Amino acid sequence: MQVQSPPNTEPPSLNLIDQLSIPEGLPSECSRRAKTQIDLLLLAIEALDLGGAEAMLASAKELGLDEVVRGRVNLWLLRSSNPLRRFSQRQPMSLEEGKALVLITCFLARRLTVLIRQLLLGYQQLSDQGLSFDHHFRLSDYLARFRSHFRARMNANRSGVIAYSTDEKLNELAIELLTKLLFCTGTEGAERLWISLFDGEVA
Amino acid sequence: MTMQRQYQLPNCSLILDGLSIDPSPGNEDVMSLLVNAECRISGLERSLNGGYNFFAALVRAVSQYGQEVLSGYAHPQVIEGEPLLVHINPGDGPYHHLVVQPEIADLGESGDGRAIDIKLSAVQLFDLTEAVDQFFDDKQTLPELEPELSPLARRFVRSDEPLSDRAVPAVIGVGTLVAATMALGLLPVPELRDPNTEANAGAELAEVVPADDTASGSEPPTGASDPEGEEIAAVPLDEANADAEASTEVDTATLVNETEAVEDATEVAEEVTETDVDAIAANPGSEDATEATDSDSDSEFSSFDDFKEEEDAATTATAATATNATTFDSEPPASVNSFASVRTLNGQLKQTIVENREQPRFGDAVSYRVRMSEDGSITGYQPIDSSAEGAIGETPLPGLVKDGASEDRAVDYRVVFTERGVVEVSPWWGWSYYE
Repeated sequence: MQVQSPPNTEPPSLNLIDQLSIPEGLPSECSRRAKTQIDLLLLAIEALDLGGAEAMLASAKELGLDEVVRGRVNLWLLRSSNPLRRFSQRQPMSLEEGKALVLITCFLARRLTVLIRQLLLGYQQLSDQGLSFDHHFRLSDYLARFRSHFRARMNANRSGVIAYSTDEKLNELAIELLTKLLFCTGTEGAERLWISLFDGEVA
Repeated sequence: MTMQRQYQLPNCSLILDGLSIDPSPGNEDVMSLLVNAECRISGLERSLNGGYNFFAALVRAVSQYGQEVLSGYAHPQVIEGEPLLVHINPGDGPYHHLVVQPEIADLGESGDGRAIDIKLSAVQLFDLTEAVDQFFDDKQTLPELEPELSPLARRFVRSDEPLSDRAVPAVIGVGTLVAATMALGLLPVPELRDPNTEANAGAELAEVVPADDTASGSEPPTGASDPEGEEIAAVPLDEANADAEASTEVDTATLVNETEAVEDATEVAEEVTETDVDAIAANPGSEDATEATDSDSDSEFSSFDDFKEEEDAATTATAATATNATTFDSEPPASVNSFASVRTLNGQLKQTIVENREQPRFGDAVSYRVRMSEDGSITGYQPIDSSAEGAIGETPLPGLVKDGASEDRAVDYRVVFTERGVVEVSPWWGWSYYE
């Protein structure tokens, strides 16, 4: 009888962006929902990590994606294609750009795996005991930061944003995004996230 | 050759025992036959055990549910047409429920024939998903099982929201419309008032009016000696007509009859009231003057000329009736000279009417000519057409008239009860007359 441990995850190769599959019937550009989801996940990463915005640029270089995400302004423009944004740019996001942002999201999420797991465990314990989030310093810190980021950057007049007008709703959204980020840290995280962005978009 | 594969994570581990049945070179390490699959989840006393069917259903359900967590849309966890042996449902808060049917999982002696419901936290679920993903990634173990990640087709997303939920807005909309319709149906239907039938009714009424009716012809008009004094009790035009007609024939109040009646009334009136009234009809000069001063009012009431003709006729008919309405001559009364006091009285009259009405009157606009003496008391009023006459009861005017008030100096006002319940007061002869 032989025992084998699972194979190690391979380091990102140069043509990383091509590893994400493009299933049949995919639209030629990212949908509204995809643009919103990607931006919200990046917002959650910023709330987890104060240097998140810088880390996004750095990881774009590290992953060899600086051809697609060309510097700070380009990254800002891409994120501003989120229709919920206060200064939404109404510009399309190509599949390549979407892939690049998905890869950056998963790369950063993987680096934050420990923190994400801690926060989710903390959330689970607090809700088991019926306690408020204030009892977990890191968690309440994350939630407060996410709320302020969200309110500062999203257009409060959009119906999609009005749905998150209360602290409770925003906390729920923040926890939901945290769970999604956890799933992004997995072996197939990037592929899963990428595919999930097109749910309901194909025939 | 038997072999074992383990995929271990902090909260979950998958242990697969199987055989390699393909001895060809390069394939001898591939596990192609699964003997037993064991799934251990931290915090759970017993592990889940099962054969190939259990494991295949488990990895499919876990893989599909992972996509559901990421996108929020429910993914089908079995291939269509197959029984749902293992599935995962979202639960409250951070929890999810892994439900395994008893027929495919080997539970040992503890099995009681019911489905097993395992509560998984988000982190446990992720570890299970990750173990499954690592298994998928391992091409040396059961390579025929694939993750089958693909975007959800549009038809599944649509069915995500149940029909009942989608129907709610439409139902609310239709319901509101129905409720509004019913509420409107409860309101009384507005009474349709036809001026012709009104006049008819007035005629019938007049028929039974007792003999104190001064216009009946049997009794001479009281004139200046009448106790009612200057406030000559006069029925406005239509009733006067009817009265006059009463002596002859009270049947219909058609236009022809009306005209005849006017003539009759005029004749009667001429006989009896020469002293009292300046018969304007016989005095064309003063009529011209009236027209000149009335230019304001003309613009306000396009049909004013009609009114005036009737008025002139009625003016001569100083016949008194049961109501205390007054008939005025068509000349302005001896006026208050100061423009300011005309304006003050204008405001005062409006204030008086508004304060004394029980509630605003709605419906067709009705106009009255109201005479107000210098000291601010109302000495008389005159409806200017039949609809105004019919609506007297709805205005506070009858109760406001003061008997015996001095009419030496007075101002005539036009009082309009508009269709929206507003009272409008303006000088009868126009503001320019007093300037």
